[in-house]
Amino acid sequence: MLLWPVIVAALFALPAFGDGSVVLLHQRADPFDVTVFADHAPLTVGQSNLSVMVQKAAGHSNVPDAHVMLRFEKDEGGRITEVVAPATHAKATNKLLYGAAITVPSEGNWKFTTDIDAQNAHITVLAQLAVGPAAPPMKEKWPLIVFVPVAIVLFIINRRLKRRWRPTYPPARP
Amino acid sequence: MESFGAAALTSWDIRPFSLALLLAAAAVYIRGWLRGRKIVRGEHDGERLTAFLSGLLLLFIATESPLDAFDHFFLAAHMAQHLLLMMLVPPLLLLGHPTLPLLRGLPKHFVRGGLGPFLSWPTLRRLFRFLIAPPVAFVLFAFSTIFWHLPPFYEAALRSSWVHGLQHASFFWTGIFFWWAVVRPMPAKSLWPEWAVIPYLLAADLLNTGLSAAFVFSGRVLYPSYEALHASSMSAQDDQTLAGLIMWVPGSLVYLIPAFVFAMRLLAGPKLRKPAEKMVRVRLRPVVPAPAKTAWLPRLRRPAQVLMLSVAVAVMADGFFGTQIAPLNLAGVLPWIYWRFLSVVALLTIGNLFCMACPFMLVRDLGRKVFPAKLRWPAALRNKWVPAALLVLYLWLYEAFALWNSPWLTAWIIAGYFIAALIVDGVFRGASFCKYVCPIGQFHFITSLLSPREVRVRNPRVCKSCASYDCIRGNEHARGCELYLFQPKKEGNLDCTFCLDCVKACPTGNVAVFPVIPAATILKDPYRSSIGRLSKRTDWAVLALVIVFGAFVNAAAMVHPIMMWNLWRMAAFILAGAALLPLLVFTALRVLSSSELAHRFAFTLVPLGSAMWLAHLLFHAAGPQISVQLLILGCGLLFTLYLAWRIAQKWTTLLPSAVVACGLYAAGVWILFQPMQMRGLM
Ligand code: SF4
Ligand code: SF4
Repeated sequence: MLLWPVIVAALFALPAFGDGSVVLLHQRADPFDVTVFADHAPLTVGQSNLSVMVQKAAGHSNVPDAHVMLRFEKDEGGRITEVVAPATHAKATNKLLYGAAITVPSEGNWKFTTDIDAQNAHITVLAQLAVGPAAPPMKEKWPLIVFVPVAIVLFIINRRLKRRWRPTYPPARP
Repeated sequence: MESFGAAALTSWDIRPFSLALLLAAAAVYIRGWLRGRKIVRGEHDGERLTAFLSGLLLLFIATESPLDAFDHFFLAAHMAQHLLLMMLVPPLLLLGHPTLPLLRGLPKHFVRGGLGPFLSWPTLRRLFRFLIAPPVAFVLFAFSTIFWHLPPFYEAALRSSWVHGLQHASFFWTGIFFWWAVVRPMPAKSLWPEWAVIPYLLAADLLNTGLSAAFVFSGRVLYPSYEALHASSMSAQDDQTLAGLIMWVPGSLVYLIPAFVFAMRLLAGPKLRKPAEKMVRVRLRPVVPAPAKTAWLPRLRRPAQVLMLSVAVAVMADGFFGTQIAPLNLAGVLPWIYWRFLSVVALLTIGNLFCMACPFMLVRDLGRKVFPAKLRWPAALRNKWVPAALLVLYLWLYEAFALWNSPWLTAWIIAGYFIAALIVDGVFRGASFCKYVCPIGQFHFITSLLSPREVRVRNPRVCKSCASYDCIRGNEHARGCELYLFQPKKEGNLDCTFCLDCVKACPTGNVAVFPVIPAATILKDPYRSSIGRLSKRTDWAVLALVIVFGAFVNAAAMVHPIMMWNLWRMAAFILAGAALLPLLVFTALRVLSSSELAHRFAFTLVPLGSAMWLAHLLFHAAGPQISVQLLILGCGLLFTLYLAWRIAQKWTTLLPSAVVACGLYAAGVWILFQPMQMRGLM
């Protein structure tokens, strides 16, 4: 009776956000409205999945054929560090968006540029983004470690229950 | 992307883990359903199967389809997703009457020993009965529906993946509790009279109508996120109205149709009601584990060997004469990246296929025509010390001379292997090279303790009346076992190269490849042909430990700062990690438990070691897969602890080996989290 929901329960064990999760910035840059999403915010050192929604400012219909380029720039003591990635529909789960996986190498304030070429218009959206220190790998992967002690605890309970409920043969006379 | 419609149709976010779970649930149900039909057949079996699989399909659509990809942008998509999770998936799964099929579909031992105590735990049973009691189930269902649609909580779910997951899980679970009273899946007993289901469903419809009306008639956008995003030309207000209508019309039908069916059934009176389901009992036949259909396997060996020989020749040719850039050379890629990975996968999923197709043995067989071996392998060397030492040497050579990065050296190693096999087996009888020298073979023998296939006798009684013992002596058609494994006394896969000579030689056809429970042989300690009792074989125990510890040492040598160490430091590290540490651990286990237990514990570490090899080699074959690697390593640890517990039987006896296993696991997790050098691929 109790068994089968356990199997289905596992389906909800690892919720994941695709693109379009957290709004990083939203700007009107005529003739477009641009929204940039991230899989987590604030951004941290390491890989982040960014996605961009490009809409016509008038009417909010989506712009499907844009060329979108994402760029992070930082002046590190006179040396400019730059990370560039094209965002495409292919890399987005939601095909209304343009997605890119981008690796930010260090923490601090980064100049973030979104370049969009579409429908004979070229626009650039600028923003300053604070990038925090890298999240410890355990923070993201802990369920894949915690399942081990959980299984061990369940096993210990199993043994105790087994000992307690083991039928005795022959049954005691009333 | 051409249009909004095309984007909506192609935005699938299929997560392999979720898909694997759904497929596993479907496979377990179908297996149990088929098994159930071997015992008793009901006229609604087909409908139940269809209902359960449809439930899983809708669950897949709710969690992986464009509905999921668009739920942050359109309330209507999110509402449709919630409707599936609360109102369609739970009743469909329950209509599959899943309890018995799922129990039958899982391995019997796991159900009895693993789940049994939980399923009969009174506390858990009481809790479950409480949750499916109609008033409780209704209150939970109503609460979860209202709570999650209140703007602050709904917005929180849009912002956090964990809250979102919790929201979906609570919709699904309260849905299950709610629909339980309506569907009453077998073998559950009816908790309320049948008529009570009608007001129960009507009350739920009332709640649904109230909520839908709030969406349609509120006159303002309830969830500001949708207004802020404004993802299409449809306004957020229109989107909200559409969401309300989805909830209202199809949502109401989900409650009203079953209420109508129940009402009609009650009005029909007892005589006109549907008769009880007809069940047909199927005659039971005793279940005998069938050997795998392997008559064709012995015939496959030669072609497989020829193929592997051609690959080996190609690898050597490219290694000697091709470019010396390893990732562009067959000798840099095939042996170190793919062959190692595939051989471990084959060992864990089928059996010792790579020994079976070994090209060195093909050349050796040809060489025997010129050098008929006469001598027996020296008695002092009839053990596993030499191959264990060769394994440690290999681990050092691999790192010290960067074999993975040198096609030329790789080609020489393969050529050296052919020559060594020819010389050893040209002088000594039997498969002395496989049994007493080859480090690759030893790795396969130890890992094949976990294989799900084994060469063994079909019926031991046939062997009792056997006079020829051709399986070991051989005959004019086939040679006997060159590794001196006498079938009636053979236990497990140790020392077995899967050559299937015994299958060909046995005159009664009494030897075949059988499915076995992986690692079950570790739990036994019988006399094993040509090996003896494992609890007395220190060489075998140390060999197993070298392979287990070698997995961690080999992976650790690819992470900073270890990979930068010079020749001697690396030699010291390999020697300490793969030779001294295993010996130290073995001695400590001997002191802390007993000699017999120390020997047996050594073999229980094999699942953990194999998991580390697999996780490491997966990285090279398929790139960083940290989630899968951690999962593999965790499963390896659990398997190891389980085997050790079965042998120890007492927590105190288990402690020393558990400490070793957990220490290795912790080291493995640390290694996997380090940036690892990607070798052999550009
Ligand atoms: S396996 Fe075959 S040859 Fe070997 S003892 Fe049994 S019956 Fe005889
Ligand atoms: S038992 Fe011997 S002959 Fe039979 S498959 Fe194994 S190694 Fe070959």
